Amino acid sequence: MLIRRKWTRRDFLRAAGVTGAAAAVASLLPRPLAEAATGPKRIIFITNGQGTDMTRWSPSGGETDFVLSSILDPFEAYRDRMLILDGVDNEPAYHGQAGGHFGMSTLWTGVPIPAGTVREEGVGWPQAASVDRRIAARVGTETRFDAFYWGTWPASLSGGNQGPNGIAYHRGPDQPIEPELSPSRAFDRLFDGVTGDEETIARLRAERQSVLDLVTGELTRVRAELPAADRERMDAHLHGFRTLEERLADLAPACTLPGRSEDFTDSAIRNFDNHPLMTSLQFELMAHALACDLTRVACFQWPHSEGNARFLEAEGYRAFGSLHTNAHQMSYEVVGDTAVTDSERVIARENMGYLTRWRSEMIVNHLLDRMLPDVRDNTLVVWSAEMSEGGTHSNRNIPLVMVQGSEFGAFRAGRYLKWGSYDPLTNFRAEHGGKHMSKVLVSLCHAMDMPEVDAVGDYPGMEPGPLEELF
Amino acid sequence: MRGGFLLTLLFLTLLSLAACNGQISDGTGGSGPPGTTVDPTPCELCVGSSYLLRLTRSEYERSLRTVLGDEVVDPLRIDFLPSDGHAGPFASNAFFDVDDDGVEAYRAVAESAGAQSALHADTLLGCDGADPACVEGFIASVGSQLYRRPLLDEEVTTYRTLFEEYAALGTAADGVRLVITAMLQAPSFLYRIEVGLPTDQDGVRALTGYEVATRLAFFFWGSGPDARLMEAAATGDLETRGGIEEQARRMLADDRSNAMLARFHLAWLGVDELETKRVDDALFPSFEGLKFDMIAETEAFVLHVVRNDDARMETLLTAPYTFVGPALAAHYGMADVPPGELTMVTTDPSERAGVLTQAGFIAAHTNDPSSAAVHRGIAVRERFFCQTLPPPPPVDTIIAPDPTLSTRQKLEVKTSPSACQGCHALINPVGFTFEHYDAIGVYRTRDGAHPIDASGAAPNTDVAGTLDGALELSRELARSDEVKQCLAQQWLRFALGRPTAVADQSSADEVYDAYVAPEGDILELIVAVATSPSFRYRGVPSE
Repeated sequence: MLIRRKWTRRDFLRAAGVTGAAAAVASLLPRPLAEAATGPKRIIFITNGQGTDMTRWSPSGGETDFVLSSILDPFEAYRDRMLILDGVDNEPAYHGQAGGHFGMSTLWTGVPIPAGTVREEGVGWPQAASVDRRIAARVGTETRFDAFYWGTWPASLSGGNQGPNGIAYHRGPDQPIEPELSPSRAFDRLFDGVTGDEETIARLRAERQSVLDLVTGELTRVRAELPAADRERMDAHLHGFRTLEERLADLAPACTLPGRSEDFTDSAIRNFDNHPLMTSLQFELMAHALACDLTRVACFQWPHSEGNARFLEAEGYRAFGSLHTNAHQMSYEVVGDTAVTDSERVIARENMGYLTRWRSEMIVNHLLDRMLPDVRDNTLVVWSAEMSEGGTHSNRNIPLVMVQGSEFGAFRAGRYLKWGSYDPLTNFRAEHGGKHMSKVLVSLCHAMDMPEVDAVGDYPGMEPGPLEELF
Repeated sequence: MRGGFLLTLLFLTLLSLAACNGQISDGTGGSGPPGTTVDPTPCELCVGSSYLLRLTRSEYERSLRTVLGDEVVDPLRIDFLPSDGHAGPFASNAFFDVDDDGVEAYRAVAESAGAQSALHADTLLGCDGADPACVEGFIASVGSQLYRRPLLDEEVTTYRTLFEEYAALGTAADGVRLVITAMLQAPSFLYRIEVGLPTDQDGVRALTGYEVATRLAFFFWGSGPDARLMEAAATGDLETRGGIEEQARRMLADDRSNAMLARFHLAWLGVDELETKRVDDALFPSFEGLKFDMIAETEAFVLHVVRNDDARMETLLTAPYTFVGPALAAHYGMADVPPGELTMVTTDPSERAGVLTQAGFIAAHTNDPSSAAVHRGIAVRERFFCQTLPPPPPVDTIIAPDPTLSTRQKLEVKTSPSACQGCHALINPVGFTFEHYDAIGVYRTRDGAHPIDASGAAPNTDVAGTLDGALELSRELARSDEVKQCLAQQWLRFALGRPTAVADQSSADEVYDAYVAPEGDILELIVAVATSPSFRYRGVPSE
């Protein structure tokens, strides 16, 4: 990356077309809501770990006369805007450091997991950015955040047992993106420097510019003395300074600010009892961030399965016998890995279904229904897990659902598409004639008006081009 | 639901044959993080490459506490900082570039720290903020502590200008606020800058006095250098091995190194992972209330062995005592102890001796009781033999073992396919020696209806023959030369914040020799780490 001349505050104001103290104040003038909130396309990525119960996920019926399954029927009001893709394989999980555990990091990147030292088994991070980054680079230039990442604990880099099994989105090689787990912190970041009275905001911006000038100057001087390898690290930091500088110039969002949630402590965020609350707060904030046009690429991750996350009655859990309340164990019980009775195994499978149904309800009730209609009309929501069913660790036939806004106009919606011969009980592992996720990733780029993208990902046997049937 | 389910489904979670060769890892395998490549050219001064280290959360927090005081740091949300990466089991940001969100997070915490500092501006200034000499003194003092070197004149001037600009708009407290806010976002604070000086060896640079002081300070005390280290750096004392050894011994003797001793051992053993660990709380409802007691037990035990006993790894592994409070005593089935400070107690020698049989190690390496032996076996191989094992192969079929079998027998059935045995033949026999302990470390003699079978072995190591139980495993590890060599590697990794490479072998040998020469002394080992070439020199990664 080239180092540009240090921007002075004067350059900055000149670029913004204003001078003096008027700059910060002028930036607060509201824009017409229509201009801010309609028109541009948005995309939402939602990822959950550990798959689902595929026997309760697939719709019945045909391509257009399908009937939503018990897991997906909370989407009924959006049925005609849906694309249900039944038969897509998270193929790169079968290359590189395989085993089914690391599909979370292959899902949106399209690349296999390399060897490395991230985890004790000798795995590394994917050596590519996920598709959201590619889209953000195109559609994110006009917004305060090119993309924003939400999650719930333990979708995190901290804690034991974390690694490429635990992080869905990636900025680039060896750059896993840690989602924001705190709703109040997400609020502060999203609306940072735009709340408060005008004088306070103007003063804060001026102070930040002073500090940025100083530390950017220092970075540039320090960088020059460093070996080349260190300079790359400094460049990444400098990129952050530039981004903060750009955000200072952003106009205030022309929208109604949402309420800020209470400050949760770290331990409250990690308390599984709070998981439904955290999920709803994060989704509602996401709806606000899109309404305020703070970002057009919104990404969310429910945690992977390794956190021994407890599964709550509020999330659909039905206690039965000695069944685990732990979503990870439960998924094993589904396939009879542990010594549970036949009837317990049935209940375990049902519970996986309830958990995913709860996820559907959260997406519908706290995100889709909360979005401004004209924002939602221009938004594509994409939801998948990295596996079909956790117990089999199968990365084939992942449960992939899209909801396309009425004005989005890319795919032919209101369809249930089925490929291949996957069967969750008898044929969950073998090549079954499914479509590769990489073609879906290309299709998403095309849907976001990036027709020049011909391939996302890289693994043996990958075919370029979009999944034509979607359009 | 379609079709019922298959009773003969198979399931393999576990590890593959590929690459399970049991070799000692030198951290250079695969396409891992940068900094682990081996220099093919011969070298006289052999040092592995190290990348620019960004402060860990703990280093950041400790630095602020030292320089600005607890009253400034206590209200801060350090957990807003980017999460740390890892080098092996140790927290390190050697391999993560900061991203935009991280830079933003640093700003948020820096602004909070600035605002808190303003509340204590008079104390921090210590003189009249209207006096330019006072302001310069404040900037030079705080700045050199945060930057871990004297500020350049131009840096002092830049900060003074910032101070004066904002003091003029408000008060001296605003000047303090802006200076602290800026310094905490400066690369010279956030990164351990190591430019060094050229040596005769291509790609190897000798660290300057201040750079050595910084390594010593973060290694021993987890924060920036104190005044005596800065003085030693200024006088050139840290350019000699003797000068470094003198400082290392001084710092190690200081109680401030206790936190380092605890940090190393908790991370090496993985016990620190309990902080975020969850077990199935329907099965183990007591765990959440006990996990911090478990960490405290291992910490107190380690500190006692190193500070008050003979500081031998052998003792860590076999000592017939431990430290418990009332809850943990009950957990272990021991007699009651008073609340408050942990009580040193003698363990039942047939159940527990040494750190591997403490609940912390056992719970940290158990996820699901049905596969406990796997994680325990991997933990021993990784942490005590410095071996790495590949991830498990893909799942092809599902095996549902006879539910009447013991946990051990079921695991043996599930891992019996030949594709699994390459690794599991190495992992399981080590893990099975822990069968007497349940998921949270309670001693047991039965597994349901089955008597415990804790027989095992440690193939592909220098521990020969069969083993019976974790107590015998611990005694054998204490005798193993490979374990001592691994211990030297682990301490080097901890001190350097990066994996060791082949080029670090001469340093590892020095460290090993320093440990075994006096029949085992961890304190001598630590001093040898600080004086080793890998610590005093920097290998510069090739472009």
